Amino acid sequence: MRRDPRAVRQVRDPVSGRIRIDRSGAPAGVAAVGAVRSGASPTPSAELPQVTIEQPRSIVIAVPDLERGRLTALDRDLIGAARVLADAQRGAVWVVVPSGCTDDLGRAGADGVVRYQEPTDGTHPPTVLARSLVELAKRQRASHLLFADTLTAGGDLGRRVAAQLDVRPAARVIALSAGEAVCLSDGGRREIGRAPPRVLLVEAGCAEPVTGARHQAAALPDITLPREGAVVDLGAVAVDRSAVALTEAELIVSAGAGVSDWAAFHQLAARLGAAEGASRVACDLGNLPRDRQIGASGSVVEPRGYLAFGISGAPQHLQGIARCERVVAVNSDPHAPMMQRADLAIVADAQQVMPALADLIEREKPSA
Amino acid sequence: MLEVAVLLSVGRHPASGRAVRADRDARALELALGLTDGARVHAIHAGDPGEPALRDYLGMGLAELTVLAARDCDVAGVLAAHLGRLRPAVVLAGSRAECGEASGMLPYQLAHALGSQLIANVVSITPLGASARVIQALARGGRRALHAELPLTLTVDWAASPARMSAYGVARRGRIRTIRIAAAACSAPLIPADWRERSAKVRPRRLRPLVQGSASERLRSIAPVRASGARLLDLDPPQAARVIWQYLLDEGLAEAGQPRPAASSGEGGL
Repeated sequence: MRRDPRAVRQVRDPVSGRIRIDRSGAPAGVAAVGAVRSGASPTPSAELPQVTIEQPRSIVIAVPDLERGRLTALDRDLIGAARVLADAQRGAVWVVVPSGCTDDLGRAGADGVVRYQEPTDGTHPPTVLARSLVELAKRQRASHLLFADTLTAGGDLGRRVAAQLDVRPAARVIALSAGEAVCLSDGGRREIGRAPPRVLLVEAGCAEPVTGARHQAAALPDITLPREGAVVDLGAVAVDRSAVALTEAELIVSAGAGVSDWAAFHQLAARLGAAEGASRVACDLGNLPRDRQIGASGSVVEPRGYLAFGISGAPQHLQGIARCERVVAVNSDPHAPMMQRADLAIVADAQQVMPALADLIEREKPSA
Repeated sequence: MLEVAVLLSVGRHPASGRAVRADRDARALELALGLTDGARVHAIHAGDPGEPALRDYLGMGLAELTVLAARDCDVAGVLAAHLGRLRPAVVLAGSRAECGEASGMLPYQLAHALGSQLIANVVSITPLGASARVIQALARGGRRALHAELPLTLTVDWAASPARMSAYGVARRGRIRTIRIAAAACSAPLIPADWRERSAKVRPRRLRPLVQGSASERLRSIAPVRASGARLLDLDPPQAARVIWQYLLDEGLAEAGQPRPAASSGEGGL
């Protein structure tokens, strides 16, 4: 079926008054205006159009996972999905975050922000937070509650809420519109389309994040979490980080053909508390086991930090680290592809930098 | 004697598509079989008693597997009724099925129905009389210890240790005990009539966050620019070490003065 783009995406430029077709792909209305405005100004964030929803007809609650108090990419999609449901019924999106959240939630699409104090007395957070969210949803007659479908954060919390509200949630939601939530089922082979239920657990890419508009992010009354003694949080357990699966690791130290001093490499990884990885060449030579290989034929990893020593950066290796947040490379060749990829590239011999770094960590960390 | 119920489902082989044991459920069974001091393990499956893949679980060292013969219906109610009679101290289950809707809700529904506490993504459990010490896996390889009162419902995922192999002889000798389920108890539909089920469609993946604004801003967003603040430095080793260490500290990837805590990020927050 052919679509008439004018009927769907025609907007009037408020500055020049001319009629345009908005091809930005953003939700119709505000975003198109935002695009025009931000184009005119050097600092778009300061001039984003403010969106205020007076007397919302319904409340959509979104609970982001957060990482170190900031929204993740999935959290932004989650709030975008909440906007899809809220905008269809002129509703407001309320975002529930711990009080330590520092991110600009208005820009992410929150009309209201509900904060809670994270328990410090050993109460297991999901148990009590789920109960408080159910109360909040009932009190505000929230039409939907959205969570990120992650294993121990949003997915856990959302399923607790769904069980208490006695709804069959839409899990693994990969696409969302006001009329239909599409859920992956059967291990990703089938999909189920259904009217959006009250609880949705969304995956990355389910909706576009909010850009080009600033919502009100009004501070709403905090919720106080009750105390709970049945499950007591005893705190973090020290784990052998080098034994952690590479795909789970937060920080990876990786070695390639340019590393010959393996004792220094292992010592550095131990002192950094990082998992060990290697390029294909290093594994082929038998210097590290095959399960430590990173790249197209090994593991595809996404740690927050990746330290590459003596790795030139074959395309297959760079594929494996495509989703790393921060890459530090040490290599004697300044033109190596890995040095192009790195956020911090240092032209030096890995054999000398590794022990120097290990010694420095030992001096800086007297208690370690 | 600690009564442990393990919920087992039928999985699908990732390559051949044949019915096999579900890996996460097998890991849950592995966790139960690893409980040393006299735990009694009740292995429970709800579905077809004639399913050959159930023998894979028996081959892990089970003498008996109970099958609630409920077919083509939502088994949450059937399992809740059975577990309500059995009253196990610990219910173990994989966090998500490999076939069917696979919403991962079953453990939560059961915990709610049985009034037990639930802990997700468990890697180890140590019974301590009327309570248990449980280690939970968090994102980024973190681990958290919890002390919980029984009864408990625990879900198991890939972080738990892999399941042992299935032995053919043991699998042949194991017994499958079938419990008939009244048709009235098996009435909840697997997929309600107003849900539309179809083959999964390949959807376009978003390559980069959508950037709006002027033509120059959009062009900049697709140009292969290096990460902001990317630096290329030619340094001698001690200086290089100093720069790397400072960078790791600035990015919060390392902490000076104390060892890094095990769960320092992400899902540790919840």
